[in-house]
Amino acid sequence: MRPPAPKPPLATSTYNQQEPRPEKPLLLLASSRAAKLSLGCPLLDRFLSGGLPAASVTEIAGESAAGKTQLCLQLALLAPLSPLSSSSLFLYSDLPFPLRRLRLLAPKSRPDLLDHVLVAAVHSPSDLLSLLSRAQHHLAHPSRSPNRLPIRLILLDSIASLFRSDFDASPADLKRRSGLFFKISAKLKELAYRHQCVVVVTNQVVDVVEGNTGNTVAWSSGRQVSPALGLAWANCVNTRLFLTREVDGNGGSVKRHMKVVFAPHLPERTCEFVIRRTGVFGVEPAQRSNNSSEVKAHGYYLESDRTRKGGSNQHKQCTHTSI
Amino acid sequence: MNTEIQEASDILKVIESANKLKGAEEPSGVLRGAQNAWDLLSDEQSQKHITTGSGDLNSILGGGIHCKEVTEIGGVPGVGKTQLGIQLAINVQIPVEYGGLGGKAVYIDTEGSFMVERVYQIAEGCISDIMEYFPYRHDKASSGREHLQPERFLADIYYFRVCSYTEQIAVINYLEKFLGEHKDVRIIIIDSVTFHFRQDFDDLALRTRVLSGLSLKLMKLSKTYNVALSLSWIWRYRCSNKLEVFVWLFFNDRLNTKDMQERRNIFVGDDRFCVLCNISASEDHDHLFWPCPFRRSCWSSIGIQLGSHSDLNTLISGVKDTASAGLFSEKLL
Repeated sequence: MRPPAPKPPLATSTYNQQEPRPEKPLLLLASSRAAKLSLGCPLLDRFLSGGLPAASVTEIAGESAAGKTQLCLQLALLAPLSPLSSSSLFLYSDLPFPLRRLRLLAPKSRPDLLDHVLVAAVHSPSDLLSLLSRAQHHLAHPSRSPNRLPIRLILLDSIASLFRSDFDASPADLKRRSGLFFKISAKLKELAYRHQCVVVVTNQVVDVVEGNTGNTVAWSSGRQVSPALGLAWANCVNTRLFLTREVDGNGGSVKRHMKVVFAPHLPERTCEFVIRRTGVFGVEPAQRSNNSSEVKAHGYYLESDRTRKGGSNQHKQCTHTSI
Repeated sequence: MNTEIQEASDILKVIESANKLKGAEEPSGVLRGAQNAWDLLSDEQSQKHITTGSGDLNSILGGGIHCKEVTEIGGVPGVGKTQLGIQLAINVQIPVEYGGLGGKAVYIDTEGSFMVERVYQIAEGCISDIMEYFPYRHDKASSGREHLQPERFLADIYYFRVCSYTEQIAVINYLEKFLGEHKDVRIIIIDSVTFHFRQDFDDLALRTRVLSGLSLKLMKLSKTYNVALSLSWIWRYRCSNKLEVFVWLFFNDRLNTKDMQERRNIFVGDDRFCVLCNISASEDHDHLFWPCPFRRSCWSSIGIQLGSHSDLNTLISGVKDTASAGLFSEKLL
C-alpha cells in the first residue's frame, strides 16, 4: 500500500504570485518614517518613537481595566485625522461593543469621525479568518466614494477571549490552537504588509503560577502576570506592549504603566499614563520627581528632544556594542 | 577482445582531454574538484568572518559568523534574533579597508519585523564605531568618507518580504539565479525560517521533508553559487498548494516512494514493487512517472507525448518546449 496522500494544505495566499523581486530598504525609509499612527498624545508618541508602525502587528496586553480597549477606541478615532488618513476596522469579541464610550471620546465638533469606524463582531477563530479574508477583498478594492476613506487600521479586541472559551487543555486541542495562531497571525501580517496597515491586537493576561516559562512576566495589581496564549502566540506578534496598573493602598488612586516588552525598533522602557474622560494620555516622568534639579533636567530633555533623533541615540547605546 | 581494449583506451583518452579542458588548474587529487584536508584548513583560516558586533560573541563563534556555513539563531520572542540579523546585514558591508568583507546582504523577512528606521540606526552606530576604531585611517583617506553613509548601507541590502510558505520556497529557489547575477552578496538572512511552516501543515512528515529540502538547498547555495536546474517557473502558475508542494518534492526527488522510505530506514515490507503496474520494477521516483505503464496511459490521456529520454530534466524541458508552456504546466500541475 502506498502511504495516504498528504492532506491538502489550505491556500494561504490568494494573491497572484510572480517572480520574487527584492525591495530596496533605502526607498522604504521615508515611507516607514511617515506611516506611523499617532496615539494622540505627544508623550506617548515620543515613547513609541512616533507612534504605532505600519506593516507590522502590535499587541497590547494587560489585565482587565488596564486600558486596552480605551487605547483601541482612541486609535480608531484618531486614524482619520492622522497622516494615514484612513478608516479603521474594529473587530471585537468581548461583547458588547463599548459604543457609549466611543461616542464620549469623539470630539463634539467632529461627529463625522464615527463614520470612519467600521465595526464587526467576531465569535470564533474560524469566524475571524473568514472576516479577514472578506476584509482583504475590501482592502484590495476600496470603494470610490470620496467620503469613505480606505481602511489602514485593523483593531482586534481581544484575541484571547476567542481562544479561551472553546479549547481544552488536551495536547490535541493545544496543537490545533497554536496552528490557528500562526494562521491568523500570517493573515494579519499579510494584510498589514500588502496594504500598509497598522494592526493592533489586544490580549488578556494569566497569573504566573509556577516558575518562569520564558514568557514575559510583569507585576500588575500586586500579582505576577504574563500575557495569555503562551509562547506560541508571542512568536506571532512583532511588537508587544504591556499595560499594568497598581492601586495605592489607602488612597485608591490608580497608577498605570505602559511597557515595551519587545519591539524590533524600540528598546525596553516604561512610561506612566492616565485615562481621563477625554482619552488616554502619558504622564511626564518629571511630574513624579521630588528632586528639583532632576525636574529641570527632564524639562530640558523635553525641550531639546522633540525629534526622534534623541531617542534613537539612547537606543543605539543599548543594543549596539563595539565591533 | 582486442577491439574492446582499444575502445576502452580511446574512451579514457577522450575523458582525459575533456578533463583537461574543464579543470586543468586543479593541482592534485584524482577527481576534479577534490581538495585535501590541508587545503581546506588553509582555506578556512584565510576566510574572513562577519563580525557580530560583540567581542564575546565573536570569540564564542570563532571570529564571527562564517561564510560557506548555515548558522541558526534561536531564542524566545524579544531575545534579539531580529536585531542580530539586522546587525549582521550591516556588518557584512563594512568596507575591506576597515577590516570588513565589503559584501552585500540578502534579507528574507517572513515575520515583518524588519524596521527600516531601526536598520538606519544600526548603520549609524556601525559607522560611528568604525570612526572610533580607525580615526587615523579616516583622516588619511577622505575618499573613504563617501562610502560611510547610512544610506549606502541601506542601499546594499536586498530585502524580500514573503507572506506564505510557497513564496518562501519560491524565493529560496530564485536565490540561485539572483546570486548568479549579484556575485558580491556575502550573507543571506532568513527571519524566521519556520514561521510559515507552523501553520497549515498537518502532515508533519511532509513538513520535515520540505524543510530539509530547503536547508539542503541553502547549504548548497552557501558552498557555491553554481546554478542548477531552475525551478522557479513552477511557482508562477496558480494552483492549489498541495500540488505545488508535490511538484517541488518531485523535482527534488523527495517524494514518499517506497525506495525513499527504504532510504530513510522505514520498514516497507518485502514487496518493493510498484503497486500500479504488475511488472517487477521497484517503486521509485523515476519509474513512477515515466516507464510505469499506468502513468503512460495517464499522460497520453491528457495529450502529452513523452519522449524516451532517460534523463528527467531533458525530458521535461523537451515537453515544455513542444507544448505551450502554460498549457503544459497546467496539465502537469
